[in-house]
Amino acid sequence: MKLYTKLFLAALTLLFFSTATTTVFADAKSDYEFQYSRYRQNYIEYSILKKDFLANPTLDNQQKAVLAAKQTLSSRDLSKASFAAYLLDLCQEKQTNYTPIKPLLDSLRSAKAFFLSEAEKSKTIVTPANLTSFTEDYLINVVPHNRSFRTGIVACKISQLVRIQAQSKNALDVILPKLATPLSTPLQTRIDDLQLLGNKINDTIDTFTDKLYTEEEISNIDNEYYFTGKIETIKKIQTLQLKWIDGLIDIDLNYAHS
Amino acid sequence: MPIPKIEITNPQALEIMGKVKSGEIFIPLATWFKKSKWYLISILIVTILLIALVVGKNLSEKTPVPVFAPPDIESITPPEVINLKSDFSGLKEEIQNLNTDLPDPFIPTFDDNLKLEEVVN
Repeated sequence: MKLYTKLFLAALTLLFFSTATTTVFADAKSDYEFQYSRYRQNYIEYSILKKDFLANPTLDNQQKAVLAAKQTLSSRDLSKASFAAYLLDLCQEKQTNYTPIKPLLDSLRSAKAFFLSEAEKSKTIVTPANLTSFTEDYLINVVPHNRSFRTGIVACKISQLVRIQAQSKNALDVILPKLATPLSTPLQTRIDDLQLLGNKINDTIDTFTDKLYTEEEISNIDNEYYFTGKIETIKKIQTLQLKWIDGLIDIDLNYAHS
Repeated sequence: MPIPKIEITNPQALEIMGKVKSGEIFIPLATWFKKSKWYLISILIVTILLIALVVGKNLSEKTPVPVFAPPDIESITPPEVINLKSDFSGLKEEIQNLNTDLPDPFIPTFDDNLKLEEVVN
């Protein structure tokens, strides 16, 4: 009897921990929000202590400022790592397996690893000189990882568009067997038009993605207008997708339901 | 059975009977009628008017009031619309709800240049 009780308790504990682990890892967004709020708090504290130190550079104030800077560095890089994880989560939840965006997702993974490593490295800072050295190295190495956020966001949007394309294709595959054969000429024309439009949308997405890797685009990543042109392209693709789905719904209502 | 003949012998009754026969008894009544002639005529007119009103009311209640309605305009009955919903309306909503704005999510700002020296921008 005791054995069964122990087994039951062990099973309950295992279930609790497995559920808890899933919940923690499931919500990358809340993790990022938590880390970012910590960073903001630490940054305010660091700013105040740095000001005190600059106004009154005693050893005590220096130690306080260095400690605050260390905490801020750690929370900053943990925030960045969790933001990269959040973006990866967003891109991967679509499960598109669209290989052209794979390098952008790899950049996000690399950024996540870099920021986690920097957060760990910042723990070794003891003196203001250590802090300066750390920051100088950081400023040199961080650029591509910061950029990965911008390209990663575009990759997530592409992932969403590709997923819609996959769902649209599935929808057409569902409808086709429901249509009475032989297909009438007007219906065949509509289906051909849909397939043509679908291919055109796919091509537009491919071209849009390929363009992200061009030298011109890479040199513009830090530009404040980097996203502007992309918004236009995404809107254009969305309009085409709406036109496509309207055509499919029309066929569904007028031919597949009769 | 023979009816017994009644003979009136009372002098007061004989006097009244004499007055009735001569018409003397009706003189005060005729005098009163002459005096109240206009009152009586007025009462009569009012009575006739009241009777006329009552009769008119009864007649009007029995006759239905004619209803004046505008002529019927031919109304168009809207045809019954059958709302067929496609199984793919959800996909359309998903496309419509796609946020085309960038950056989405918004990229947070970070200070990458943390030092204890004054930072010259």
